[in-house]
Amino acid sequence: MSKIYQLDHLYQLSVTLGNTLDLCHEVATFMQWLADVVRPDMAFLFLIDENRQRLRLVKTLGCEVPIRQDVPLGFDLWRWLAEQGVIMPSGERHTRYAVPISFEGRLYGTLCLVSQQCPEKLQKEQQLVNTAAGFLAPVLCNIRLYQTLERQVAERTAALAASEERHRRLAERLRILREMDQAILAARSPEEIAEAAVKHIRKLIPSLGAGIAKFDFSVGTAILLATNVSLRDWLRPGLKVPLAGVEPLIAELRQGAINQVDDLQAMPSPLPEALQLLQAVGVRSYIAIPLMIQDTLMGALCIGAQEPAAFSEEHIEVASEIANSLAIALHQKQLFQEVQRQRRQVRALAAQIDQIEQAERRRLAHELHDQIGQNLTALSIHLSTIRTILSPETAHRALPRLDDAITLVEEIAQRIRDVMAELHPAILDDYGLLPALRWYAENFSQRTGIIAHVRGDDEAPRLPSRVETTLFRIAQEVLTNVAKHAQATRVTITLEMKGEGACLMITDDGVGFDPTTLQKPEQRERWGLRIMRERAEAIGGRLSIHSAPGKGTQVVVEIGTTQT
Amino acid sequence: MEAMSDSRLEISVFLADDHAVVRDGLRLILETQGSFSVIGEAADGHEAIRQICRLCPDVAIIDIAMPKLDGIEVTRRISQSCPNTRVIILSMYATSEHIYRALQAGAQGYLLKESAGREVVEAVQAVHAGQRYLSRRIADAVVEEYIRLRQSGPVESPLERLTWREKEILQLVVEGKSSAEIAEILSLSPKTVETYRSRLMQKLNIHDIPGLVKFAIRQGLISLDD
Repeated sequence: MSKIYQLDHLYQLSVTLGNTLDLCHEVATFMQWLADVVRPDMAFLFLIDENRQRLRLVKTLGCEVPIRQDVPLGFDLWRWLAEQGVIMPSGERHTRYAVPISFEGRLYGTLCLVSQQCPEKLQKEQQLVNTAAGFLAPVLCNIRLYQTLERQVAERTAALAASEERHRRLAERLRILREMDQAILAARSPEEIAEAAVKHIRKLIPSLGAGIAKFDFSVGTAILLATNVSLRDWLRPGLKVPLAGVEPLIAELRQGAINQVDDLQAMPSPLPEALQLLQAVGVRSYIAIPLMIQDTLMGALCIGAQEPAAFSEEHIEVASEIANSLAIALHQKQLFQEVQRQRRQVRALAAQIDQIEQAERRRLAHELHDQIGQNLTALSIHLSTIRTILSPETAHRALPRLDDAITLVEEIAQRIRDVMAELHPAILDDYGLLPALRWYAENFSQRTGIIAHVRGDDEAPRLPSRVETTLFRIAQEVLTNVAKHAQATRVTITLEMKGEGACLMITDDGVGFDPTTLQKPEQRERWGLRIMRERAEAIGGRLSIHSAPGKGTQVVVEIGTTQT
Repeated sequence: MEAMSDSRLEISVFLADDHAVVRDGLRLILETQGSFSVIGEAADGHEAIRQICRLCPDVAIIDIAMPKLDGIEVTRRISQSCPNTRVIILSMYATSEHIYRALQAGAQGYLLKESAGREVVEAVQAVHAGQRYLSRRIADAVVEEYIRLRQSGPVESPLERLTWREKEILQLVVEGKSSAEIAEILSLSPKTVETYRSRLMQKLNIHDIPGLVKFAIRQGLISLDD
């Protein structure tokens, strides 16, 4: 074989190798060159695998027998080949040598050759193969790098996709949780809160359904606040479930731990009634998450599935988050309801006291009229009678005193009349609100010099006595305010009947004020506003105040048409 | 009791009051005077009507607050069925409403109970003579009230009929704002503004915008200088 020929082929090899990133193709090119140019008896190309643990036999030349494909790194390759009967244990006529395929100090494989060349030619052949292997090594290195990169890209792409999917799920979860929190916020009762949560749970956790129960340990029951619509036939809200038999479960919940059952069927029967109910609706696995308020167990959120072991860590995490929101909302609502209830109680009490006071005032006024008034009348008449029957002898001495006495009685009567009117004007009972307002306005005008005018329909039907009294008291209070603060010259009191309801409107032309100042409690007190409001509300009415600096003030009390 | 109606000098009087002491006392005072004869008494409203219609006294003194039928109603019925009988209402109350209702029902006199002993003779004589009689204390109050009312001039400004909202909207309408603009300013729906507008126009009995503007100028809501 001429040297020119060899060099030419070496050159050909150098330009052909490395044109692709296909390992098989590159290996084939190399081995083809080996077969064409070096023509060994046999050749075995081993490449180190990526983990650098084993050598893989990737290509052979001149080997007819089947042969295993890989060998541990560091194993004697000749022995390995001999053991398989590929070569003679030690060749006399065969010359064999191995050429390492390395680049930049890193080994990529080994080429084993069996040649028939005579020793003097062998050296040249080895040189040639070494050079060729020198060409192959960087190509292999390049391919390896490329493969590594490609795998990394694939891995990262997959990781990215996975994380995008996770983000999407997380975002979706957050969106639903937010939606649920909003629904919970808008809810007006514990039942509505529970309902809102139950509605959203199935969107977050694939399940048969969810239920929220409140525990009443005093009677040992759980009361269902809400369940999914699909479960309502069996588990309707309001249902009381006995806690007997599930005490260990409750004890766990009390500790704040989640109770998870992967298969109800695997539990020893008979099941406690609470769990039987779950089974009855088709639940096999469930999770129960405690609803805790300040370390006190108040209820539980229970999610059930038809499949065994349906709940993952992530499901439990979401369910815990929901339970958290739920517990806070339920606690808050409970406190709010308690405050409301107390406020209603106080208000009812105040209204009751007010009513008792009004009744007492009325009773006193009647008492004054019926007893004292009548007696004064009798006294006056008696005195007058005595006056007419006095003998002329005594008359000149007694008459002045008698007249004084009669005048005194008249003055007492006048005073009693004023007290009566102050306690409870008879006119209010006798003729109704409008005449009473008119009478009061007259007195008010005389007292204050402010022109008070009353408008209304005299033919309108009377309002219930309690409403009349309340509106009259409010009008008195408002007029007192007008006299004290408004610097008004005129005030108009309008009473309009609207169906069964009424509207009392008191408008003055005084200095007015900035209504936002009423947000301050001391200002409200100054105007007696709280009492007026509560009085109005006690008869199902609504009191509003309109004013602006320099524009007078208008107080409006509206009584609904259905309430009295 | 019917015998004395022969004498034209005597004035026949009927007393209706649920208190015997009052009836007895008044009877004694009147009869001591010599020129009156008390021809009947009643302790409740129904009895009073029946007796008065039968006896036709010159004067009936009727308590305003009686069981079964109050004095005002008794007065109203008597003045219809027995117009020759003059009625004096006897009352503890001194409000103009009570007095007005009594007079409107047909009473000629209104006597405060505590002054009855002193004034009854004068009162009966007065109403019998065709005059009205009000207890002195009341007469003073009524005159004062009359004077006060006369002084206070025209009582009501039409603006006072409007609610606060209606006034706000009137102001904006006469400033030339459209319903849409007003709705914007007050954060209401244009429909609500329309409702307020038509209601205030109805209340003021003004049915067009120029009319409203004229009204607003008169009331000082807007001035021509603006």
